[in-house]
Amino acid sequence: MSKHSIVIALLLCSLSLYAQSTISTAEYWIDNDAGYGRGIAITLAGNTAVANIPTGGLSEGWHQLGLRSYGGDSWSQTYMRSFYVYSPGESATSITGAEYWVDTDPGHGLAQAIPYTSSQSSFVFTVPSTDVLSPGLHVIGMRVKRGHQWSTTCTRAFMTLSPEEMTGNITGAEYWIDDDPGYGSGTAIAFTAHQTQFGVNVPMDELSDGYHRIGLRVRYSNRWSQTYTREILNVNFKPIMDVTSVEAYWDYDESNVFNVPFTIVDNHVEITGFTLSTADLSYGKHILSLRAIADDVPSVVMHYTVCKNATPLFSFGEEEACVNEELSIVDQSENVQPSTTYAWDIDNNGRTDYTTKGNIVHTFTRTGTYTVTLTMQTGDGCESSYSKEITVRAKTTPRVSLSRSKSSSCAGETVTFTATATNAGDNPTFTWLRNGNAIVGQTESVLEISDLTDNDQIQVQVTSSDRCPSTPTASSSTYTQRVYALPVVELTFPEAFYSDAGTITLAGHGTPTGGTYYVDDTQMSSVNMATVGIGEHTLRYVVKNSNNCTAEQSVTFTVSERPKYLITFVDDDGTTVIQQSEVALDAMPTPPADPTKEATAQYTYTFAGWDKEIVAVTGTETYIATYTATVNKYLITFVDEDSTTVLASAEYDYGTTPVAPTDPTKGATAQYTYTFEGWDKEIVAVTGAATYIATYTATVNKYLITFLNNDESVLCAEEWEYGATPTCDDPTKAEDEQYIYSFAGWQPAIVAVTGIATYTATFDAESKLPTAIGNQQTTTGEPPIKILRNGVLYILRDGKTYTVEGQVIVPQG
Amino acid sequence: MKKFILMAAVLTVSVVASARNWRINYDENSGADFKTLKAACESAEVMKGDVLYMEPGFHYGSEADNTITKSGLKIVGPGWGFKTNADEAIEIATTNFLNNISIKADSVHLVGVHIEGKDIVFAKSTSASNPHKGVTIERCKCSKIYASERDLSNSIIRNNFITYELDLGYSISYGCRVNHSIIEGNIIIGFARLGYKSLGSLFDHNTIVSGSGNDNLISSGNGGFQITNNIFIHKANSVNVFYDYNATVVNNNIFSITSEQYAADAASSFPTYSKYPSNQCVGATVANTFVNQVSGDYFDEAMRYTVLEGSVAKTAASNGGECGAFGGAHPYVLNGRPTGIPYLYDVDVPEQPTNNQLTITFKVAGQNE
Repeated sequence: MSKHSIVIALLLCSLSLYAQSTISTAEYWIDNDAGYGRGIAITLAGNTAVANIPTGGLSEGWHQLGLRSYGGDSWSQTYMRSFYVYSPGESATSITGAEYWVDTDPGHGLAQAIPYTSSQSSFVFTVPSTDVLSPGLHVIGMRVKRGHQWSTTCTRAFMTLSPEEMTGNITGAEYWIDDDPGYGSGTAIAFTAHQTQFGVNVPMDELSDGYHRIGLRVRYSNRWSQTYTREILNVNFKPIMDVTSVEAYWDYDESNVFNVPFTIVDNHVEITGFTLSTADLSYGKHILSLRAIADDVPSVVMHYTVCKNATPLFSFGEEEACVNEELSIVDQSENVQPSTTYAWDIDNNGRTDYTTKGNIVHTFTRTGTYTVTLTMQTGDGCESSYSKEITVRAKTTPRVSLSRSKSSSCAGETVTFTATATNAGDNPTFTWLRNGNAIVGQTESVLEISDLTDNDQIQVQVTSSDRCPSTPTASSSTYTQRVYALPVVELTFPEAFYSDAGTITLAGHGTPTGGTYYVDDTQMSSVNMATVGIGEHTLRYVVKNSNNCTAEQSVTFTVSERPKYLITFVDDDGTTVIQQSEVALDAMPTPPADPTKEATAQYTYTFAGWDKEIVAVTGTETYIATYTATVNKYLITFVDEDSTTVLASAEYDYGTTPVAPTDPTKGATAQYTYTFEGWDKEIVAVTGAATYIATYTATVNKYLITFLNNDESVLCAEEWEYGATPTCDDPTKAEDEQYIYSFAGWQPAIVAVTGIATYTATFDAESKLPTAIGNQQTTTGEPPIKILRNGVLYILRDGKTYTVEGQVIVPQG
Repeated sequence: MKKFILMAAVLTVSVVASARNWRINYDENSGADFKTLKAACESAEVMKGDVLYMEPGFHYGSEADNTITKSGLKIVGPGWGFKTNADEAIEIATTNFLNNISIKADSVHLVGVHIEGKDIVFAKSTSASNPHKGVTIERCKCSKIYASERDLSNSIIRNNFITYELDLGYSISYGCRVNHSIIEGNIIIGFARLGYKSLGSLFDHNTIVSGSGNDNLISSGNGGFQITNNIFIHKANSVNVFYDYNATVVNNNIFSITSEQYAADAASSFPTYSKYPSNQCVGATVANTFVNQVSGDYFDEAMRYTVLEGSVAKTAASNGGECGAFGGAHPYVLNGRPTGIPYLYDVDVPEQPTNNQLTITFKVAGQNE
């Protein structure tokens, strides 16, 4: 089923209510009746209520509508109708299904589907020949569905002849419904001579609801075929009838029918716990009639007898009665009316013993169990009964006997006295007497008493719980009890032992002598503490006197392990644990091997013992190691610059300052002259072996270097450092007539200074230029031509052209 | 392939306005229209097509009072055995009769009527034709349905619970033919006699269980019946389960005799067996054929005779379906609930109100199946 949103916009429901003379209000409800005055109000038009009821919010399917009015001082009955809400696109007139069946109707919605459209008004469909052409009579039914309702089934009968029957020309054909009128008397069917199939529209409208038989046959010449018959069903058939109302009425009065609200569950109607008020009913027998109406068809009316009567109820004054005693019977009946009659049958013999209205008192003269019945009638023909059993018992005489656990006892010993009651009921009570006085709080059948004194007298009385005692109490005989004194026992014993305490003899610890010692309930004459074990123990001393009265004294003692303490040996820093162990109390600790202490740069240490004397353990203790410190000596060495030649060597105490030897010397070289500068490091207090190395300052030696001209004149004379390269300006030499001189270098060649040296200048001499030179002249690859003119040296390069202009040589180009 | 072309116009629902409903209750204070069936039939107001509602309660009338003399009436009872607790076996709200119901009219439709220990009789009368025509007895519970010197024609006996016998062949000398009638879906705790020289009738999908003795479970003289899809069980395992001179068709039935019993005494036990081998002589018993227990929301002894899963009868019918009353086109309907009218069930009405209030509980169904 598709989901729907709005089914129909409005359900128009017009209903006239004529129940009251003047209608003051009217209301309706859908599906759930909230009660009178709580429905949805309807606008009134005079005495007619017309309601447009929106159904947009209702789910698809069946719903129930209830309407009622209020007029005068009462509500009308509630008129109820069911209505169907369609899904979108559907309506009560839309075609929603079409189907056909052959021979057997499988039920609505289960037959062969016929294609349809929602507005189709006629149907053409094809039936497979195999369904209808087998010899015999067939019935084809077809129906359509509008909205949720199927139409009646249109039925048509068809007959197909078997080949064996087709032995001649057909001379007749007829059918009948329900009753076969005899051959030739049926309703004629049109035919042709060689027709093999015959159909007839069954006039369903003329048939009553229910099953009908149709018969069909043909005639060949003068012989009729067999009559084919088949059953057809003519009923406005719906698989599920729509229950539209459920009605009830009292006492066959159909003029006062009232509706019973109902809910629809799984295609059936349920009325669960509908409560009718019977307040207005008279007392007596009434008939409640129930009926339902579905599709305008009523059910069989069901009648139920309901008695409105007083409710008989009573109780007995006692749960059990005693013979020949009065018994109160208390009337507790409800709804008793003035017209209510009582009939008490006390002895269950079917006869009325009392007709008393209210409580009665009765005396039973025989024992037994009786069923007492109260039957009440209120009104006509309506009886209600209540029965209850009571047992009537004979009288009983209570008795009680007494027994005790012992006739003589020791002081403080518990003695048990037991009372045995007879004929005293199921729950008798007891009173115990001691020397004639009641013992408070003792009401049971057994008395246990431990504070008896010599010659005390004990007796018991029983009070019967029986419903019917001849006397309420009975007393037992009296017992006199002998009670003997107990011996006086004393016991002394130490409270604590260590488990290594060995064996302790017990004799002598308790008085008087002659008793028996028990350690933890085991008889002992001595106790070994290791054997008895760690923990608390009880020493009990039991003494029995000549009256066999026994007394005892107990003490407890504790056996424990001897305690151990933590003994720690630590180094002189107080924290470094050298040895740690638990040592039993009073035992002598064993120290560790003498510890050592690592030497420092300053000291060397020697173990000197523990900070205190090692003694037997009394508790937790710590011993600290002590050491003797010796100052270390170190070798201090002074060596020459070569680190090999020892200048001085001696041992000094840590912290003292060494004394250096006299400043050493070092011989000069060609290059240097040396001066003692000091030691390689500062001389400091001794912290370890050390070597000091002598250091010197080196000064570079200088030498006189002389430059002479070639004429032996001094050009330069000064000191130069060893290794330097001496220099002096180049000297010149004036030209002469023939030559021009140029400096050619020093003799010898200059070298780095290694000592005193002298250098002499040398010159090259060149011839002067001829005077003819004044014309242009081109050098031709010859070595440069040097011309000295007027003191100016001209060097002519090859490939150049020069013009001598006056005294000047001018390059050309 | 030949095809039929059918054209049909949509039919509109029509209601027959003339039919009236009448209440019958023997309690004169009940406000019913009539005290007895006879009174209703004698009333000029009661017409053919009317419906007579037999209300629950004891109908103390004589057989004459219980006689239907007017044709075309439908008599509707409330069914029986509706209850909430099957174990209590309480039957409430049903009819019962001190004497038989006698049918002396044609086209009578009797449905949902409970007649514990008494019978429904097709009685000889001047007011009915011979044979009785168009009578339907449906969903009734009774001791017997039998024809007293009457033939039966075009009638239906369907879905009844018959605790003793169905006897439509009471006396051959008086005819007692059953023509063009259907007997189907009945449960018969006894035997069935189908008449002599009947014509064109069907005995289909019935369940017959006999208690003891040598009674034939079914007798049919000189043919005229198609006896199909039934279950025949003789608790005493007698071989005399079937007596038939010349049944037209005997097919797809289940029998309590075994094939060995048949072989030993074929002639007397089942003379037509060899002609219709589709029947099954399988030694069917109550234990191996039926669930044999009652449970559920209703109490109807017929529930015992629903076919057990795995039984041969479950698939032995001519269409491959179930044999017996709960198979076929019109399966047995429990509690005799009448078709075509609503009915009340699971009714709980206290005998006495409490504090002036009476709280009632019941259900209503209207099912046409």
